[in-house]
Amino acid sequence: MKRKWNHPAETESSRAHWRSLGELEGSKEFEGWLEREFPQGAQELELDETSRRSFVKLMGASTALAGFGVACKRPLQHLVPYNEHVEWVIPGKALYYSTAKPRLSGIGCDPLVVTTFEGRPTKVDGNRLHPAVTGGSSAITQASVLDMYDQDRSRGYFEGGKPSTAEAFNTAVLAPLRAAATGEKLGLVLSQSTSPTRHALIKEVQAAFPGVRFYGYGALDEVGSREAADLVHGKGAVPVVNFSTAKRVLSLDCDFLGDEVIGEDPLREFASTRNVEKNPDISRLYVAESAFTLTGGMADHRYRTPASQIFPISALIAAEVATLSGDVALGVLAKKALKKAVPSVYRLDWIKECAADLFASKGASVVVAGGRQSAAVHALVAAINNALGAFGGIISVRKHVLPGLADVAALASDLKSGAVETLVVMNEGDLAFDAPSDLELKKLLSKVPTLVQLGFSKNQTTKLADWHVPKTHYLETWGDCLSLSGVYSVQQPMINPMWGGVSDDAFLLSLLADDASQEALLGRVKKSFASAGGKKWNDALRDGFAAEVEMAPTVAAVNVAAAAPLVEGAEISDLPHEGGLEVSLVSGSATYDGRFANNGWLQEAPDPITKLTWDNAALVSVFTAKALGLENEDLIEIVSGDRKVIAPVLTAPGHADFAITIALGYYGNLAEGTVSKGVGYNAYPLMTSNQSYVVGGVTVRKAGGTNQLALTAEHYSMEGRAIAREGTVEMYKEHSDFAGHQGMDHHIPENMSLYEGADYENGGTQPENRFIKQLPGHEFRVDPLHQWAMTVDLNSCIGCNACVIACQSENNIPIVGKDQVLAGREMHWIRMDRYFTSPKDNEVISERGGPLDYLVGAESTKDTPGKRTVDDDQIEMISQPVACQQCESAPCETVCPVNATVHTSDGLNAMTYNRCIGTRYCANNCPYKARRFNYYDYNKRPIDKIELGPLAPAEGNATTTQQLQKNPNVTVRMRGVIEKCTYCVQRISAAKIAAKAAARDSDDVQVKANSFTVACQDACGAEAISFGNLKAKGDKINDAKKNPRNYDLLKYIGTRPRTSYLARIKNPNPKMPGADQIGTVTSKMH
Amino acid sequence: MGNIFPRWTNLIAVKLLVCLGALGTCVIAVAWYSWTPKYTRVGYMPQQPIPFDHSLHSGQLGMDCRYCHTHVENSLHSNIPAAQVCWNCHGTGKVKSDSPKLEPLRQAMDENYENYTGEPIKWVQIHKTPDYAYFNHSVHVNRGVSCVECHGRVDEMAVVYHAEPLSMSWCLDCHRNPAENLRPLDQITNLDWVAEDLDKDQFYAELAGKTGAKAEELKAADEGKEWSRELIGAHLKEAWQIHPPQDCSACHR
Repeated sequence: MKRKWNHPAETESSRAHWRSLGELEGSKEFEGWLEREFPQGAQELELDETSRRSFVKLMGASTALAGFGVACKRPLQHLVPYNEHVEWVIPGKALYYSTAKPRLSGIGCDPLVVTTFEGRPTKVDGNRLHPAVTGGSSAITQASVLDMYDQDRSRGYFEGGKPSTAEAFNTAVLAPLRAAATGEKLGLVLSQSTSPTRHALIKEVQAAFPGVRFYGYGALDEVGSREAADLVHGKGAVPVVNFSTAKRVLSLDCDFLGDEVIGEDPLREFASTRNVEKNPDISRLYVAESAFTLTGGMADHRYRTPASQIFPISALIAAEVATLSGDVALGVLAKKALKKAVPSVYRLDWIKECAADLFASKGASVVVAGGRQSAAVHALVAAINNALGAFGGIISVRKHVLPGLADVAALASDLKSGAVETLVVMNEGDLAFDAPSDLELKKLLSKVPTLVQLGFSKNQTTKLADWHVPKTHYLETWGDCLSLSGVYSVQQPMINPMWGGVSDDAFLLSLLADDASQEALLGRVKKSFASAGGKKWNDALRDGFAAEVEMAPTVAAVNVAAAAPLVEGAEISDLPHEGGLEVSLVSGSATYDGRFANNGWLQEAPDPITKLTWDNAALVSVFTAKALGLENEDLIEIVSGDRKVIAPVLTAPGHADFAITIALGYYGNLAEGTVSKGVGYNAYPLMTSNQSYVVGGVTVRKAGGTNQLALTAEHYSMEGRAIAREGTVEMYKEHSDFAGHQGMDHHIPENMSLYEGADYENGGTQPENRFIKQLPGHEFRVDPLHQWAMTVDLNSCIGCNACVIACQSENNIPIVGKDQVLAGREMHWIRMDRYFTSPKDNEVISERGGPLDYLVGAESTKDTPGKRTVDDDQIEMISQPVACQQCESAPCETVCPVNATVHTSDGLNAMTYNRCIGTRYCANNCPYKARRFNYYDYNKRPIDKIELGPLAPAEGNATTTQQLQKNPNVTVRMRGVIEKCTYCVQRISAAKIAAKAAARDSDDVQVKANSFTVACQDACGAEAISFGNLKAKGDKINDAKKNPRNYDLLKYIGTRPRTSYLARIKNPNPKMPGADQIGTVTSKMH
Repeated sequence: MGNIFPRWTNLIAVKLLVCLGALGTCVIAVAWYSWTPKYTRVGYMPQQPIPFDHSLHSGQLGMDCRYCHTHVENSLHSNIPAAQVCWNCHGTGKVKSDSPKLEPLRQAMDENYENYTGEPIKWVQIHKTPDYAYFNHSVHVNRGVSCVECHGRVDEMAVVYHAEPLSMSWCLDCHRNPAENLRPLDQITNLDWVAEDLDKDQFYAELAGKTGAKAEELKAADEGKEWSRELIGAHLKEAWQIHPPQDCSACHR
């Protein structure tokens, strides 16, 4: 019987499902990506200096030569043991240490567990024991370990650019300061911090040097929320939002699922409120924002608005809530805020229903505002939250002792007046690069008589500095910090400072004492541990936190009246229009404020929304691009007054019209790092101290030329089939297993697996095998104890890339550089797909537009120029990580001519790198496009020398420091080899070996259920990924597989994947405009 | 016209072909063998910086392997001991501490020694699996595979040499048929253990305790069978559920 399956024709749906505008419009480039398994030109060495033909000639000659020169003798290799054994170290085994890392803004901390091999940290993960931050980590945290091995780190002291020594610095700068002991004309620029040791040191420095001035700066410091919190709750108060009891959430330009720190663990907490199995009455998320963010992608209802209009929108919400609650003070406040707003330009129906819904869940609803919004917005939001009863419940306000740091404007004026003559710049970031442009700090810094920089690597500030002191990585130093809610967390070093660096705390200590070594610092940390109330130091060191130390006290005060002047004083900006656009400056998903610009993992991780790598771009809506006559990749000049920025255009679905979003933190031509060189465009010139992150009234003109953008959105497409499935709460209540009936799934005849022993769906009985007669002695070996499987819950997954980079860190996945990404050769084993969905109905996609009505919403239609291809107000987003699906009847295995990819008895689709000869048949035959090919020696060569051939001299190799990061339990793959996800087979093997070694002479050799995790699962802050053993009783994977939302990718082709997905559930508010469209993307596909 | 070529030339092409064929076969056969680990590795006996004599320490003095190779039961590596371990016995004023053979040890450890460098001793690696093969010591020695199965009679070696090929097929031979290489766990580091050393009654009694069968019945079932490593190993394999993996991913990741 021959069974032939044709791919089904694209099914009918009222909503289209697309990953890029090219796909939606069926552009030629996209068609090109579809037709080839490997992208165009992949077979040709077009980037090489030699042509393919001459390359073959060269190879022939060199192989012949190599044959003569090679002897059969083994090279002499040495084993070098320690002289004296190091405590706890067992060569070959990983050691895990807990530590903590200050959060990016300095306030709060990320508790971590670090994997080290013989003293070298290779991977960081969240600390799951921590009482407040319950594990999981972000992409940036995952990638932070690579920074420590950065080849461009500064490796010593420099005086005026010339190498110097610590002694020379001590004699020239520190000793005179200590001798004078006045601190006259001494200034220090720090980052904000919740470290008790830092505070103690600052106090001591202040006492020892009475004249010293402290300044604080971080380019993305949440100044607005701090200012409002100081007024509303008192000095040093930090509102901490805990979403775990929230029913209704409104986010006003706040990417709390992304990198905005508004709570201890918002991702985990929010994901728990969306757990439809636990409680079908899941939370509802409203988001108002300019460009899509991770939070916007999870929204049930999204209001696309320019960032400047968040203030009037929050006032309108306040007015509605005031009316509903009868809160007179709030009503007055809202009225004052709205004094000259034109309500008709806002989506009033949206705002009304949203406010009503928030108020209906009073006590379980909360409004959050973004860190880049003004203090006025934060003050209004605090007043709304007060009326909604969020304080004391969802929001607890914690009292922290934050160091009193003057702002950067004060620094500029002190520098101008000559009040500071010795300035020590030790904040994170790069002051000469990321300060507000109107302060002209670069000019002022160059005039400081003695400028000392404590810096991680050489940057713009280094160029002006008289002295450069190398800074430690957080994995190299002692320290401590409090989490947002005040859990005392210890930071301990994993390794001696690689290049003899000095930490922030050690530098402050060196002002006070001669001995500022790590030992002396440890003494300080222990002291502040004891004075905080810590008793069990060793326990704190082991766990990473001190359970006995009390958390920060809560503040009950909510003084809404104190915020009134802020709100009254705030201006409502004009709506951006064709002649006066608006620029919103956001943090770079790869670079944050620029401090990660030289981190290759982050640069190559596609932006979660735009899928852009190795660049930043000016994001505009499709409508705006058409109105202004701009095409993707056109270089434009964004002009605001006398400041201008050049950047390439990238159209972004769902973006507010006549607004531009551009990420900060890219150095462009200023950079000199191996990775950061020439990457992106510097947007800091647009940032000024008064307008901050939203700049109105800008104009745009073509700068001439284009910049090719390395987008991965169209790579490895799945040709528009129902892949990422979703439904609504209503659907779920009606048929909880709706996902398994979407697309082609209910037309499939019974599947007949060639692979026995894993028919878990039917209670483990094996289907009769009619096709392959098993030869005696050659039966399939099936492990009765272990069968591995995975599920990914799309309802929790936000698409944040943490798993992508965790996988990269764990599995020694190389970066390939922009040119290679452009050729479609990125190596990430997990491909984070991001789909946009939009109504397909032509009546909804009307020809509308114009300068003002874009804000009014979907209902309004006007015949004005500029045809909309997509209704931006109706766009939804869904992310889906796709790695090797570990098919039970895997198409790749049958086509490998050398058995390099075969099935294992425990259900893995194994990949044997040393056998692979690189035919790429497997990748061609993979329906999920989950296999990656090493076109070059990506691991051996740095990205700028990738094209060197296999016989090139060793000078071209990656530096030893980068090799130190590699996981010793995973093969480092060479050129010409296919690689892919193997479910972290090294961790599975380690678990099995541990179980067997522990079993000794008993037969108890099964790996205990839930006893280990794989890298992506460990990194996921939303706990979206489940992995485990189907044969183990009590393993969580069995519950996940039984989940009614479970479905397989491309089930009808009969590959029987071991990885499956749980459909996303949306919770639309039926009273909202356009609610009937939400969450219906795959439900109408038959 | 006469024949230009004499008659014997008629067969020259055939003869040449046969000779060349034979030569080619020889070359291939020699290369085939000499590129196998059997030839390239077995017998490899490099000179070590300190001529440490295993036959003296392990053989005559009877020191357990694990006195020096401390982590063999816990780690994938069986570690080379730290110099401190040697120094325990050969430290200043102890056994043969001034022997010139121990020069590298004194250089590493004796801070009062004039040639002290503090440099660790660089031992020459003998047994090496390729870097893409992840062999694990702990899982073998904890499950009845003795050191001797892979390393030979190290307790009789004055200078350690490579005793077994350690090739993939050699590994697989045992993974496919492990019985003859299994032994009770208390005999793992006893390199000259043979089947006859095992107390039959005690063995069956312990086996019975694990399997739930009666010792007498087990013994009776084996009546007439040769008392051998295979027989013992087969019982251990069954009782301990020894199923050596044969998947590629067992060793290659």
